[in-house]
Amino acid sequence: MKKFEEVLLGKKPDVVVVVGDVNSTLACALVTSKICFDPDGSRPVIAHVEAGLRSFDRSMPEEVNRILTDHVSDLLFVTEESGLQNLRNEGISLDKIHFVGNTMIDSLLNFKEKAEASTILEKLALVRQAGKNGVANSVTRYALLTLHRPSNVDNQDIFLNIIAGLEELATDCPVVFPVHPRTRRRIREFGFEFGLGGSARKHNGIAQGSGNWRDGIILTDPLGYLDFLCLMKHASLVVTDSGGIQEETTILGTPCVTVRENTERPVTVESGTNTIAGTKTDTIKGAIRRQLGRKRENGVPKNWDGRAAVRIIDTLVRRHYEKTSSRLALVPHAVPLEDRCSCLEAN
Amino acid sequence: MQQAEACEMKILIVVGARPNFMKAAPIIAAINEHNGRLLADTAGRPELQVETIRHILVHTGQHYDELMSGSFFSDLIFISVQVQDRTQFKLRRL
Repeated sequence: MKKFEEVLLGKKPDVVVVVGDVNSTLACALVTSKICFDPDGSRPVIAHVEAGLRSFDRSMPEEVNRILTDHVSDLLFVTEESGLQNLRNEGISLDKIHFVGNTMIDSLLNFKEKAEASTILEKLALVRQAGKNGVANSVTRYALLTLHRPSNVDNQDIFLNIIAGLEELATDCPVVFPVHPRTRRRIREFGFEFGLGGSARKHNGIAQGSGNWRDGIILTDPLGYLDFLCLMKHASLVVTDSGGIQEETTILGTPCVTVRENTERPVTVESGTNTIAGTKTDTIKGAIRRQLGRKRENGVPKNWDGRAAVRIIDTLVRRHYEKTSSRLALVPHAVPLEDRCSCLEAN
Repeated sequence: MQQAEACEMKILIVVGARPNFMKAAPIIAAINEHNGRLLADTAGRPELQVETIRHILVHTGQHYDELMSGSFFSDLIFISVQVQDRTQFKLRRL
């Protein structure tokens, strides 16, 4: 935090943009709220991107980060309608709140096609080779798993319950599991055993039933954005405890099972492909069965259209020039003001 | 002319951990888009004082693991957008 203070004093920005809900989001928002550039106490405007999300579970470290960051911020950029309601319920003044959409979805839409160039499916032996009569390569059925939340992986029993919930799935098709460093440490500590890389081949049509169903779970290192995007897009199912992946699978139309008791992103359940399964073995198994049976579909939540960042910059520019008066005429009008406010009025 | 520096809008963007990067990159892209449009709109009108946005990207190093964050910086996410000014440091403990 000291170091960030030095950066602020050195650069003297007009606006500090913090995103998401990690520790440094809160730390930097807090430092900015206390800083003083000159004797009259001026400081940068604090803008929080992805504001208003609430799981209503304060035992999650991110929940505390979200609430506190929102309350020290001057501008709140909201990704979904639940966020508007949450902020209003907490008494935050409406003129701070802007429903702009989801910048992570901006990235997703921008990179979706480029992710097709990824060779990760080949590397993990998830592609069936083309037949001799020129049939195109086809992707094998597989599922994708990510787990990193302390409440899921730090407790051996809970971690085991979740893995046990995957038994049917891992017998049915390979489950690719890119492992977060924290999770890898726990797997080592608890002495869990999984299949490694090559076992994917067993699923490619022939020899099933090597005895241990956990061979069906294929561990990999954390993957780059494009590789992971490619895996999410082609998976039959994603099982995760991450927040962002619930949103990305919604846009990709991939069924998602969230192994948590709640979500701060209800729109992914209401109009997306997500379901909340809890962390008990039986509920996870049931949710996986239901989700495998559902059709691929994409409901697109409002404003998840790839233009969220443009709306944010437009808002920041308007505000800046309203404050410093003058040259409003030079500000391009990318998004009409009434579009941004329509949702607020509707509520 | 003499006030040009002081009027320029400066936006500092903080990223710390892996999930932040794909949320922040589009903001930088949007700033570049804004600047590009502004310069195009005012081309050939030297009497106007054009105020582009300057951005500063700060990586707090919360995820300092190379696999979790290093590959992201070198990944297309930030290569795809032109970053004007970048500061990176490692947080020991918050």
